[in-house]
Amino acid sequence: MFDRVVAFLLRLYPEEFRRVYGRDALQLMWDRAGHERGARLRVRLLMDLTRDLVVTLLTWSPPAPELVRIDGTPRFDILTPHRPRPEAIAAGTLASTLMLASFALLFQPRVFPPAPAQLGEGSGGPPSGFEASDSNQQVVVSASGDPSIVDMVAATLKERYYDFAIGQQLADALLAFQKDGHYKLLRDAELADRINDDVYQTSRAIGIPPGQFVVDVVFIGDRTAPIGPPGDPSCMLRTIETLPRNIGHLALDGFMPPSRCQDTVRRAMQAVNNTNALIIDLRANGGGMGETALQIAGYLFDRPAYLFDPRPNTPVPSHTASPVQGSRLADKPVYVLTSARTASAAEYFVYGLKMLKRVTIVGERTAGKMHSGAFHRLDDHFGMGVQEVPPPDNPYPVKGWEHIGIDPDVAIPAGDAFEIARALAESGARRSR
Amino acid sequence: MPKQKLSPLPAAAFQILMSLVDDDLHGYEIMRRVEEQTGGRTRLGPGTLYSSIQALLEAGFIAEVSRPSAEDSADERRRYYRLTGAGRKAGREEAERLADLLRVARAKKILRGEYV
Repeated sequence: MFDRVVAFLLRLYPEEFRRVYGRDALQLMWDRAGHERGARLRVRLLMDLTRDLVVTLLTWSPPAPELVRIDGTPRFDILTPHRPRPEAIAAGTLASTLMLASFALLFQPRVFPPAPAQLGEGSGGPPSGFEASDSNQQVVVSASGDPSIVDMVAATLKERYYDFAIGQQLADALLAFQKDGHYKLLRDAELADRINDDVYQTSRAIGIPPGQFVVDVVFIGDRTAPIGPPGDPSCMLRTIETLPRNIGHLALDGFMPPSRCQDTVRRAMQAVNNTNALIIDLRANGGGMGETALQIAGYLFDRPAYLFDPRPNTPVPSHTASPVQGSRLADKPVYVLTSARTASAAEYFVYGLKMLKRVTIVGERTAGKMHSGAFHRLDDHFGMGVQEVPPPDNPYPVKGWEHIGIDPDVAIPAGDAFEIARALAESGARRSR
Repeated sequence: MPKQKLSPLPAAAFQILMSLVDDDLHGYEIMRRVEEQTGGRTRLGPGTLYSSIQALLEAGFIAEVSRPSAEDSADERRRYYRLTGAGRKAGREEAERLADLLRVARAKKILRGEYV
């Protein structure tokens, strides 16, 4: 919303100003927005911009047009020697704004695309994909290849990526690949994957660290799919059990909203509280809410622990609420099972605990989906997340997991991970006793 | 672009010249430098900033220069500006003019305390 208001206000500047300095003005506003976060500073920024716009409109005097007479060509000249009065410009601007706002309100559902939704754990998808903030929204899509999808991705990169120069370079590279026929035979998810690969390779070539989120193009599918978490009373806790030799076992297929599942998660953690080692199975966990992942991580430490969240302005606290009263898991060995389907908030959980060397990861490399950008629908079949503001500082040498995933400590096929982790847990539990 | 009157230097143009005394800067850096040197009282918006920059360029008081270093690829497409000799002279003359005004105000004892 903020970005749209800024873009709208910049479009009201005189055309000649925008032609010469439009890009610089946009860059200036992105720079300010990148450094001035929080509601108060953003409001101040918008007020500054509005004031500057009014001053510019009132003081702007366009240069005299250079009239060139071409014989035989009809010509229309402005007869009045006076430029419009400032009051007339102000009144015109106000009237235009009101008309535009009314038009937008009246016709928004049909005319304008949906507002971008922040991806990721906070609003990001159900275990198998993306989710918009409106859980009742339905997406009706049908399978088809769209040869113009690369153009749309490139245009969004140019317009939305927080660093204008890099966005331009990435877009140019994609268009060059397209010109070479790189995407000619690709459709649907294959096309999205190839675009993501090319963006990743290009971003590496221009110096963006591996793992940092840039862009994620998504093929949404060919079916009518509800967007939003299913009403699962188990809060996607598939298994809560204590195995022989007192090994705790939790299988979570998603991190459901804390408003609905905080108590369920707390009871699950209490159920495995007295075990000698814990296995957390995230092999089918495609993400969800970071707050719930942080809640579980809280039981595993005896003091507040930092978990890196790649989303700018994230609502998730940066540290766990450790120690959790009554928890006996802070010094117990923990094994996390992963697969190529482990994504988004589940990767946030795995990455944070791996950086803190708190867990042993058993299984496969994770999906490499941070979902930390703002999401835009490109058409009925494709969408993309894009990094619209600078990413938050990451203190670790590996700057994230986008595209590269998170490597396990014990790399084995996901189907074998449980048995291996169980054997490791039994020996680990013996050592810790 | 419209011609902006630069004699006397408008406050925004003067502050921009002062911001460029030490370094070559791009638009956002100029805005930040002006904010710092005015104690946060002046935050130049894009219209004021770039209209002033255009006027200063046309007057020859500043010049657009290439990116100072190749270290930061993110800055590749930004425009950097440098104070010229004429710009330094214009800034000095404006500062002297303001100092004269200040002397008059002091002589009339309308200033309290240790101003400037």
